[in-house]
Amino acid sequence: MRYRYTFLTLCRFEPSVRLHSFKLRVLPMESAVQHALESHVSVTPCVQLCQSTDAFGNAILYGTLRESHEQFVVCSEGRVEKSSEPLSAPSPAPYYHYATALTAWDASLQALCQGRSPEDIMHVLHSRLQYERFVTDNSTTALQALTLGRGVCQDYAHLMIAGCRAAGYAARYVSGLVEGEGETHAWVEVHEEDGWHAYDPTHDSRAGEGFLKIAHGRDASDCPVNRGRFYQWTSEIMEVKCKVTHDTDSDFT
Amino acid sequence: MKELLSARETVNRWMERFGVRFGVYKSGVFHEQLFPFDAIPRKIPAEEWAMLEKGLVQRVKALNAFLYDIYHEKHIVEDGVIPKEFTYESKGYMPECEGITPACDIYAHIAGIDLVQAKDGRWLVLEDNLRIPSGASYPMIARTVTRKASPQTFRDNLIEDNRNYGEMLREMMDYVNGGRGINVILTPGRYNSAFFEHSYLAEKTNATLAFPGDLIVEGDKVYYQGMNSLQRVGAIYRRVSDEYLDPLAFNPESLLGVPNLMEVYRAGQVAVINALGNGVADDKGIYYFVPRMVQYYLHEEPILQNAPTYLPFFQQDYEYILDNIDRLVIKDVAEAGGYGVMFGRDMSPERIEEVRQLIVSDPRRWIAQEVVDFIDLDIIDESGKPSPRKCDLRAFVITGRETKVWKSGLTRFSRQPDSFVVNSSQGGGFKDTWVMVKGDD
Repeated sequence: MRYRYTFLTLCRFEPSVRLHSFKLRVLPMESAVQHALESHVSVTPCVQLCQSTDAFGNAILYGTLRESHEQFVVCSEGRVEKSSEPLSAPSPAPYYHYATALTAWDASLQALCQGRSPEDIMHVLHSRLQYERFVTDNSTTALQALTLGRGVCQDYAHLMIAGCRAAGYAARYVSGLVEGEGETHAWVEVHEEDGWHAYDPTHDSRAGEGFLKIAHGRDASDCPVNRGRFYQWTSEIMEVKCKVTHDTDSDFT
Repeated sequence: MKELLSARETVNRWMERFGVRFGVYKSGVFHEQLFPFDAIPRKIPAEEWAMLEKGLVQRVKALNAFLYDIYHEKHIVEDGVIPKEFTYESKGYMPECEGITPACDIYAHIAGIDLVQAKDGRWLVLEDNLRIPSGASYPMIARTVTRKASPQTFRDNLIEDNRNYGEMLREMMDYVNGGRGINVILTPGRYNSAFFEHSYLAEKTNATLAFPGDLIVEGDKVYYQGMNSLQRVGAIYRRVSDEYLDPLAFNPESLLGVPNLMEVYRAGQVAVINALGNGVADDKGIYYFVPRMVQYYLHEEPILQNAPTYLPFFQQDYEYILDNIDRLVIKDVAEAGGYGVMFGRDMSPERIEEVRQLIVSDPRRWIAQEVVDFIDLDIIDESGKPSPRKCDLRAFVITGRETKVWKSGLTRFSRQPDSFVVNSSQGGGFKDTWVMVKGDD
């Protein structure tokens, strides 16, 4: 299936900042099941962009804006061809087996998940959380979200990762864009025999069609869209807008 | 020698004027204290040094091979020589460094290997320090000062010169730099416990001393921002720990780091000394396996032995430790600087029970060692009389084109006569280490 995507990140600084170094994860991930037919990234103010790939395989764009600016806009757009097959991989990297600060588990979570399939773990844990915004943040751990009983996609993903790792599976955090959603989304991939299988614990379903992967890692802290550092005390407002649609024209060409 | 001892007041006064200081944080407050120097040197005969040298070179080569392996193919784990728990669960293992190949494949450019000499004469390794081993400047400056205070002593004794440490560092820095740009020493700043050393080494290696904010990434290269110009940087001897080195890759709160340095490093556009991720090889838990690394990577028998060590992770050791806590030293693998070290013989029965519970609840976190009865060396105490102290030796091993041992080292002694903890963060002082030239043993 082919998709068109637009992924816009907008930062406003008050007062303006200078010597702003940034690191972006805004390009679709290349893999055997996802391939960008076309991709373009523009950054305003205009600046030289360098490209690299981090240890997890994510495409990185980075640079430094020396001059003072009040706005920082990143627009990533293009077309992607994607299949909903699992991504085959003989053996997962070892670090996807171990707890991180955000995905640590305790004995009771382990007891709850032990012996279950990833799908089953997703069902069980999905029922423990209510979707609610603004009750958790970037630093909320899987166990904190579980205790609270509420959270957003990031919390659902962390909890499922913790549960799967506790049950002996390698699991990783995925961030990306979803057809029909205006914001970035987070889901999970679990390694089962033949490869990585994608699950969307927020919606208690498989993550197949319409899920465009941007980045993956041990947890959300490996996948931030935009990290920056500048020399100014400032308030920063960040806005993200995404759009994914079927690329119907090109399906037939 | 007598002349040197009688000059000890002069020596200490000079040291003070040089600003040989050591900073410590106690209860969150920064104190700077002089690091007391004792004028009686530790002498190591040439023959003995030759053996130590061989053993140290061998050990550091194996540690470098291990670091390369862990961040690439991981053969040693796949082959079952080291259990995966001791690598991937180690605090020092950094998945962010997976697949990065540092300049010239070197990870531990500067290794500080801590040894003690047992009463039977054997040297035993207590700890490998592969992240930012400090302390080389103290014997360097002590030698300079004692040579001035008592030139006769150095005419009467044939001692290997140790004033070449700066040259050794510089040679190594130039080698990994590969002509890409200037060499810098990155210091966290004035309030770091080893600031004196950073500035001293910058002077001795002819490198630029850089403060946070002096280094900037432009394009895929690092630059030093001078008054009016940018200079390309080819090698960074950083005295800032991994987690603070790049706020966009690690701790976002860090004010000490260089944003996007990690990307430049990954691209092979700058050498970072020592490499990132070395903590996985100097963890107190991985220490147990270093002799096996020597066999595995070099196909040689280890020349230097570890102090007898037990890992509660292994069932047999676990039982032995629980039965013998009262006579063992228990160490927390996550701690350094003499913290998290507990001597069974000093503990009350209640405390022993507590420690037993700690080990039972998290066996991976602890190691146990036999108390090594290591030799005493005399110091001149406050009353001016000789008094025995426990001493260790930090040997500095530099890896550039070749792996070489600095013919000197930092000999530290405990503050109290009955203390076995020899660490500058815990009080105590240091001695010069004389490696004797053959024929003057």
